[in-house]
Amino acid sequence: MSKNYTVAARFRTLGIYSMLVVGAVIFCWPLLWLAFTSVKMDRELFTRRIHWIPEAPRPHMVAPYVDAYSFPDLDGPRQDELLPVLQSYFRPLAPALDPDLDPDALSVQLARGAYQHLSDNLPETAWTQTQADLRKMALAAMNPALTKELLRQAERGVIVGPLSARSYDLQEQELVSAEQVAGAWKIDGGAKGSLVPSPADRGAELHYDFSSGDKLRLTGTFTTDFPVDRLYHLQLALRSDESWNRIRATLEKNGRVLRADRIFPLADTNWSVITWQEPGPDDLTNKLKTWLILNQVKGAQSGVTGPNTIKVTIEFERNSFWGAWKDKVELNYLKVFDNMPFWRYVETSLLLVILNLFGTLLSSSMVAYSFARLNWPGRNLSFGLMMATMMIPSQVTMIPFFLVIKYLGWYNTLMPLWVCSFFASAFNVFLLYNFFKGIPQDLEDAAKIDGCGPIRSYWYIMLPLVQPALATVAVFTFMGVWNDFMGPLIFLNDQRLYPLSLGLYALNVQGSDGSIGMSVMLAGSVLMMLPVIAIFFFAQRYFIQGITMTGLKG
Amino acid sequence: MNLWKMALICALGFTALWLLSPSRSRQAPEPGVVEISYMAPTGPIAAPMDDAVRVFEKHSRDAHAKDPSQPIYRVVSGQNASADPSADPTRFLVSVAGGMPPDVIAFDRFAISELSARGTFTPLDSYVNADLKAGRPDAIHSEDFFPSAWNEAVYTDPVSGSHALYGVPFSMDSRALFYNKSLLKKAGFVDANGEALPPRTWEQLESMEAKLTQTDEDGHLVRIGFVPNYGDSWLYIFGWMNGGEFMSPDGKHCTLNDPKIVGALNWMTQQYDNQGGAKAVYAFQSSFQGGELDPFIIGKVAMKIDGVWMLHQMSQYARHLDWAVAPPPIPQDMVTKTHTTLSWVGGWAYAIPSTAKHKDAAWALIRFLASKEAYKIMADSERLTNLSQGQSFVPRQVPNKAINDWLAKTYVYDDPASDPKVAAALRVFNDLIPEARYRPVTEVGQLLWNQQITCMENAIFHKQSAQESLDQGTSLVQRQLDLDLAPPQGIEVQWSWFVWPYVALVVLIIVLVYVWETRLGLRGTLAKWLAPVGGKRLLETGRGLEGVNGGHLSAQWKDGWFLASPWIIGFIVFTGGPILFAVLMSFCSYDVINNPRLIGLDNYRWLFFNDPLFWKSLWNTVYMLVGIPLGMALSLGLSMLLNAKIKGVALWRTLFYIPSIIPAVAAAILWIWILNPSSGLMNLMLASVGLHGPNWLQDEQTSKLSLVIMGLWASGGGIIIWLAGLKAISESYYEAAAIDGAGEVDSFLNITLPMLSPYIFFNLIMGLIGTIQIFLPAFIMTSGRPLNSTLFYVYYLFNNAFRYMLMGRAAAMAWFLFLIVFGLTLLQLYMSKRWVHYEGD
Repeated sequence: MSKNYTVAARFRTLGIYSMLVVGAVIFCWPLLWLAFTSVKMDRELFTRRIHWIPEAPRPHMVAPYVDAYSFPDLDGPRQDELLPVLQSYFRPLAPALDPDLDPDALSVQLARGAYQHLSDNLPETAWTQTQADLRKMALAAMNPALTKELLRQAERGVIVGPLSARSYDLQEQELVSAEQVAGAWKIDGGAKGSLVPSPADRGAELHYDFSSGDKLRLTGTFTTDFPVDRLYHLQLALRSDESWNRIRATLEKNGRVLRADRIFPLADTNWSVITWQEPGPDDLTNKLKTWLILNQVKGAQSGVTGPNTIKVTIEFERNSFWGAWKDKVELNYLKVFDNMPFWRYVETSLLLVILNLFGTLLSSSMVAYSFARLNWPGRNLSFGLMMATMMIPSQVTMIPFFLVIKYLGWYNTLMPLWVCSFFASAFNVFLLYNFFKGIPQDLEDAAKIDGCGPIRSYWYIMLPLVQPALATVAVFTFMGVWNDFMGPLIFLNDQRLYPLSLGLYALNVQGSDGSIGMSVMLAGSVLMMLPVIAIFFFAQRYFIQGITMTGLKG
Repeated sequence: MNLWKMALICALGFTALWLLSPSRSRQAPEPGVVEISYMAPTGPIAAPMDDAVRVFEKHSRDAHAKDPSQPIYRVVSGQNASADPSADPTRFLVSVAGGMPPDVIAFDRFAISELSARGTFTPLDSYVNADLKAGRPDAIHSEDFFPSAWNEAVYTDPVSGSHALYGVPFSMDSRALFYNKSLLKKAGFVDANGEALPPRTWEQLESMEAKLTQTDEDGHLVRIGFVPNYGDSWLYIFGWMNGGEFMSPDGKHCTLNDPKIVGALNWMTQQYDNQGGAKAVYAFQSSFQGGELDPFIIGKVAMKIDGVWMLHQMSQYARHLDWAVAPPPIPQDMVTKTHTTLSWVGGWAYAIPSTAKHKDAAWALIRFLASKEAYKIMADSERLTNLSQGQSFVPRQVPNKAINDWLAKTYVYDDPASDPKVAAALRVFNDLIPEARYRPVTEVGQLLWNQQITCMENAIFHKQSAQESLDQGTSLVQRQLDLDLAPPQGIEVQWSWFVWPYVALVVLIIVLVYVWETRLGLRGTLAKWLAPVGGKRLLETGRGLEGVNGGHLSAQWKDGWFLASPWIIGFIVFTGGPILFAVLMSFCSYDVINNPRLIGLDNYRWLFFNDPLFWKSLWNTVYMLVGIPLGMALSLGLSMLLNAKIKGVALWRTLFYIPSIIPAVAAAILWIWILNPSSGLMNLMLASVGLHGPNWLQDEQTSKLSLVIMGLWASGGGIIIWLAGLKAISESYYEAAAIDGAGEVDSFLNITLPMLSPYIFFNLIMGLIGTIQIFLPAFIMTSGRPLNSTLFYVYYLFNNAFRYMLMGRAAAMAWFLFLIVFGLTLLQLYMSKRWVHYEGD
């Protein structure tokens, strides 16, 4: 008998846990999706097949190289027949295309790319032909232009472009022009490296090999047309090679050494312009921060002292697998911080949350208690009115409410966003009302006999009893205030007063034209959700604590 | 001890508040500086604008240093958190109605007329002329602008005939035909030199499209030759191409059902039908992606009409694609020697609200932003941002002819690094501007825009014939236009009238309630009079107050009032007035900007008898009510599961709660992806068990269902209320039941459910109130589409209030909704007496 009982209990437990797991998977994967997508790069969002898990970064020690993943996810018929054919077509061509690349690896990738091109472009009828005919059609479709394009997609290499400087007086000076790149830089550091001129790419290709050392430095000393005190920023045009190696710049001038606060990861295959500048007026504006900051290295002395002389060092540093992961995760998250004064917004949000929690918990519980357990003239009418206020769409009362706030002089202040919480909101009152109604009368009667008035009995007896409900109200309030952007949107004009919700909303709006990637916006959402999850995790314990107290009524 | 603890907590709390207070770090406004508040979708926060604005400020400082009578300007970010003030005008209209508008606003030009007609914006002619008279070198000359941009900002009152300039155009965008050259060549559409030859007429387009469209063995589309409304074209361009006009020249009549436009819509419908019908095309379109996988770039669409803004994307992703742009084709019988193509332009303009505080300063800013210097700064800055993100730069089209030419020349034509295909395309786009059409400048512009979409969808999906749907759309727009153009009716209502009556009303209600509750004698008399109609009940309602004349219950009065005072004061100060206002507005015609006018029951009459969408939106909303019981059952089930004795309960609860804390915008992105008919998770899962999933959000039949499912997924939000309720049930009941031999089902039905009844009641009422006011999904995700199937009541109300500026009608809708909710709630309250069990009673 007892054995049967335990078996049944085991099954029951198993059932509960399996339901929990299934439920958690369904309810939770959206968060995972958000988190995963928030670290993806743009090219992972726009690919033929979207993968769930972000692509692992693949650090490379040697460049230029052939990317073995340039054409992933081939789909289409008769791959086994066509790929070898195409490969043998490209193998003899490969050494001539780019002597620096491994011809075998290159021909494999070119074949894959060509197959993909064919599967998009050959007429439907071609795929039902005999092997020989298909082969003929495939080879007929090959041409030098296509090969060039495929090569562009399969090869990876760093192209160093021109370096230019700009003064605060908006003088623009090209320190290194595209033609001079190969000769302008002195190369040292532990790793092997060389700059090979590549006029077609408007720069020079950097060949490096980190097997003998972790660092490679390009150093150049330049004379500026303007005094170096007026130097506003340095800009280097560069094509990345997706090797996840890092770039860090050091600038020497006036006997000082300035070093970039952050690295620039070679994360994609695009041309970009890296901007370095000293801390300055730009940092105080709300601009999208597209530059890296050069901070002075304390105690370091430089031999470069001329009024018009600067020394620039571009350091390439080898990255490890985990280092690359760190850079990849940081990529989008740092953009959130760069695109808005994040911590300023968080502070405002916290301020609003604290004030709202205090106001709501106090006022709503008072009012709910009064409605639920006290008798006074006008109570029923008031309760009816309160319920009615929830049933009117806020869109029609928005304008007069705004007028009220304006007459109180609260426009463009934080006042309207927290003062109202001290006047009890209908939803919370109604929620607490239900809890207060559920508490047995005996408890209060006993208190009354001991000489407790309604206010004392509210504070000392009832409030502790509805703790679980208060925790509920607190969670709702926290979430409401934390996520609310409509209130701040309407009542705030000054960007310095924004809470995080509105700051993020503004970021989303700005990004909707494509200037900020979707992953960055999702990274913002993740950052915004984390505190709510944490709060909930810790607050839910109070729901349990509540029973030990209510339990005493028996 | 407790006192110390309390004091410490308070001290910590106050320190935290002080530290967090924004006033601590906020800089005081500098004396003598004029702050210009600027509102735009991106605002000065976006780098290009920020750079230009800083230079503007610097100029003003330099001028001030030379001549101290010149003001120093500072531009502050007005609100910039709205993607498009004509798409989400709430913030702007509220600030105008509240008398706190920005000084300069960037606005979609076609929406300017709508607001100008109601006096929102300052006429700018006097500023333009003053500059010309003063001979300023930076004066704005109307002849420097393309007429198609300038005239869109000039509104002519159809009644008085007076006209004025209400905005200075700053951007524009023409549309042209993108075509995939290699696909055209492959299909044999080539000229004598073997170059791909784009269509010149509709007839050519139609025959090419037939040849270019491809389906697989199952008849599913794999490539579209051309569909009319893909890209950016709309009924507008095809109507104009066919020689139609959407408004009469005097602006008094809507001619949406012009036979030429009917013809154009029929032609559009025909194109969809030729390719398997709109439903198939939409299903195919839903598989489209952006960026590198743009359907045009990967050859899934051979031709499309789209705007110049696509060039940015093309220059980035379509380097290896052989493509070009041609002037859009027109019908053969419309072609003349001089008229061979037609494009249309839209764009934005700067405007100054009529109640702005610093109009002269605002004009100074606009004048600067319209200068070549500002355009250069912005272009340089945008270019730098694009390049630093590895993207290429294509300048926007600009309404000033000379500046437009200069931008295109400097940044594209003369730049050796720019893609020659992009340069050639930009030339085509620029050549189209002078002859381009623009949307009618009318005060019902937004309504007309929405109606042309509705009519088009109705026709291409064969819900109605083109003629029927356009007739219906025309009459709707025309009725509204007649109302707007008619001389204002009714008495003008002033705000100040309401203050004292409101105070008097509040006092009166308080006195009445007090008398009613305390003078039982009075009630007794009244009850006697009303005895034939059940007057006795009057006495019953006073039962709770039997201690009126000195019993111990009256001791509760003072405390009761005191404890309820937060709500009572809050209601009188913050809520009561706005509610009373909404009541009054429902009897007024009120456009948010001018004073309301009393018009009696007209708003209600219009809704009930003239507005089919009103009933449609009500039905859509009622449909959503099915989600309430489902959501409650689901979240109760989850809570019971979470209430069991399990390990790691905190973690489990958090996991189940997560869906309800995902911010709405992120959740929308997520669900649009899940519900994507071709690549979405939902249909992939259905496909794995062999089912062919529906089109979800894109299909009229399933769009609401999709939103219900989405709501269910977020129903974990209810678990914290259920948990609180479950925890309040004493174990002893279950133990007692177990001893009596009750099974789990019995316990659930006889203990759990009755004990939870107050929570069920709460969730029912809140679910009802919340669902009936459903708004966000339509606002963020669907905009009421497709075919108005997700046009929910409150979303339609919002459209009326802020997009069509019919606040009075919106208020009438609100009250009708209120009556429904209130009635249903009373019904529930009445029924609740039978099944809701409060332990405290």
